[in-house]
Amino acid sequence: MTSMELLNRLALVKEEYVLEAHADDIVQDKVVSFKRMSLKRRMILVALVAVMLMLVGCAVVWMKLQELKIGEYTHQNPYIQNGSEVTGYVISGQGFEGSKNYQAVKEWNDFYDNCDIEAALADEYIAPIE
Amino acid sequence: MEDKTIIDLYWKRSENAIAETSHKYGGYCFCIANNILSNKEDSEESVNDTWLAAWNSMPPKRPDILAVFLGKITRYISLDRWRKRTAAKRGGGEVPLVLDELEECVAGKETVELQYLNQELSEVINHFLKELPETERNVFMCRYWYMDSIEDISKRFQFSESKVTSMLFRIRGRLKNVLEKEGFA
Repeated sequence: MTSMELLNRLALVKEEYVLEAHADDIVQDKVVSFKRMSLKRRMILVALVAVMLMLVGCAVVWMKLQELKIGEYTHQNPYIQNGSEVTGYVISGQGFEGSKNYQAVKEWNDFYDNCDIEAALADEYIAPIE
Repeated sequence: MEDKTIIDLYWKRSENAIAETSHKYGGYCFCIANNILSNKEDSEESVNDTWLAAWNSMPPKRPDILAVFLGKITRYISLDRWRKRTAAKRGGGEVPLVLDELEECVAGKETVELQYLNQELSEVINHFLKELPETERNVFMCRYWYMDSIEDISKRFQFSESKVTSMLFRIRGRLKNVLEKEGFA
């Protein structure tokens, strides 16, 4: 047997061995083996997946925080002189929007915002004791 | 496009069959041809001949793995083109180097009776490859099936070139022992 004959006979090896050796070049039905990727590509892919998961997590947290909001308030930014007013959110950890705890805390918060703590209104109607 | 769909196009004798095959496997087949021929024009001719051979063979064939089916055709056509182009053993590409390396495994003489033992030889080689560890098998296939250069193999597996060379040397030694034991060398 010559070396050329041996080289030709190698064409009859099992297809799985041929496929396995160049798996990253053969895009079989768009499935590329993760194991065949270079380390750099694998790390980039893992980093991208981690960033995507983090963004999804942040989005979920943001949406859930919206459901905890029971009110808003405005104040001047204390760190900027003559700065514009900014809007802040009041959130409660008592429960999500729609729950009884949420409703109770919201009602209390609304009452607290609107009640006359310093009795300014009362002073208008009650004459001072002389 | 999935392989099954491409094969169906061949069976329907659709003109899109070759276009889809070329789009999906053109680069792969060109790589195999160029490793053997080291010439862009000859490699492109081999790839075009591959599409013609695929068109003529499907139907009746319906290969399980289209990539390997096409790769085998390209390899055969390219080797045949190389033989015709190069009268002497020395020439361009990796084939002369590969042939020199495989000389270690065989006696170098072609006997008549061995022509009828091709099937048995294939079984022996398949069994030999099955016994190899996966990495060594892949390195062997990259060198002697795909005819990748030592440099390309070292980059693919992230080994040094000397490690690839010594690995192939050991594998050839084992292959030689197996072929001698089975009476093929």
